[in-house]
Amino acid sequence: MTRKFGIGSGTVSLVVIFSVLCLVIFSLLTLVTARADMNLSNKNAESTRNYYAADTKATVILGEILDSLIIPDEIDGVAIHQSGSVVSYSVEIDNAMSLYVEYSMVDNKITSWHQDQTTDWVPNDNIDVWTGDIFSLIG
Amino acid sequence: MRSKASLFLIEMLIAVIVFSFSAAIATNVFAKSKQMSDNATTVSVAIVKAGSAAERFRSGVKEISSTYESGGRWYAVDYSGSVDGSVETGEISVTATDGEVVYSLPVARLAEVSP
Repeated sequence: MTRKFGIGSGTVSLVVIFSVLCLVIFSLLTLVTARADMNLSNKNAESTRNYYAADTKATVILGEILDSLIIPDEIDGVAIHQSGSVVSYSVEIDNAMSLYVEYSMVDNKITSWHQDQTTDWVPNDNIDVWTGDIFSLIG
Repeated sequence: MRSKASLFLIEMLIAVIVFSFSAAIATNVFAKSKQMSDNATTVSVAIVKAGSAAERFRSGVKEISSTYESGGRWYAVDYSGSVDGSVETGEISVTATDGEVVYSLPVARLAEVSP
């Protein structure tokens, strides 16, 4: 009796189903990763542009202060504070940050130029890990 | 009744059609992912280059323009601006060789104030 070797009925379908599943899963994973990278780059671009826009505005305001003989209370919607020979103001960077500038009129020197947080920092102390309760996965 | 060989051929034909169809869709998705990934890399590099040029500008360096290569394409970092009173304002832009502006930053510096 001779035994026949060959591909049985249904084997091809199984291989194709496996291949298609692999293709779909890997292509979707690649797409999700690329989209996450793109979103991160866009957020980075936006935050950098916001910072330099605020920096530019702060520099222009300082220039106007230097050019004017009397320090105004407000320039371009930004309140100017004067304490003795020190002038200070804050320019908004975004919803959570602002750029604080302090300038000494006597020394003709910028004494402070830094970012401040305008909202309270809320730490995220919630880590979603499995606590060992098998029923929490079901329920 | 169909023979086994005939059934196998029909199954193979359907398998080839299904696989070709899904492979065509997956290839499109892979290509789109590659394009998005390349764009993300281009923007990320442009942010670093523009930020670096902006800091050079703020520190008083005269020569801001430069070129660099990323992902097989060449990009130029340029500055254009004007002086108004004691403030020099302008824009630093990163442009591809085909003229596409990848990224730009507004910048300003004072003429005579020490930081």
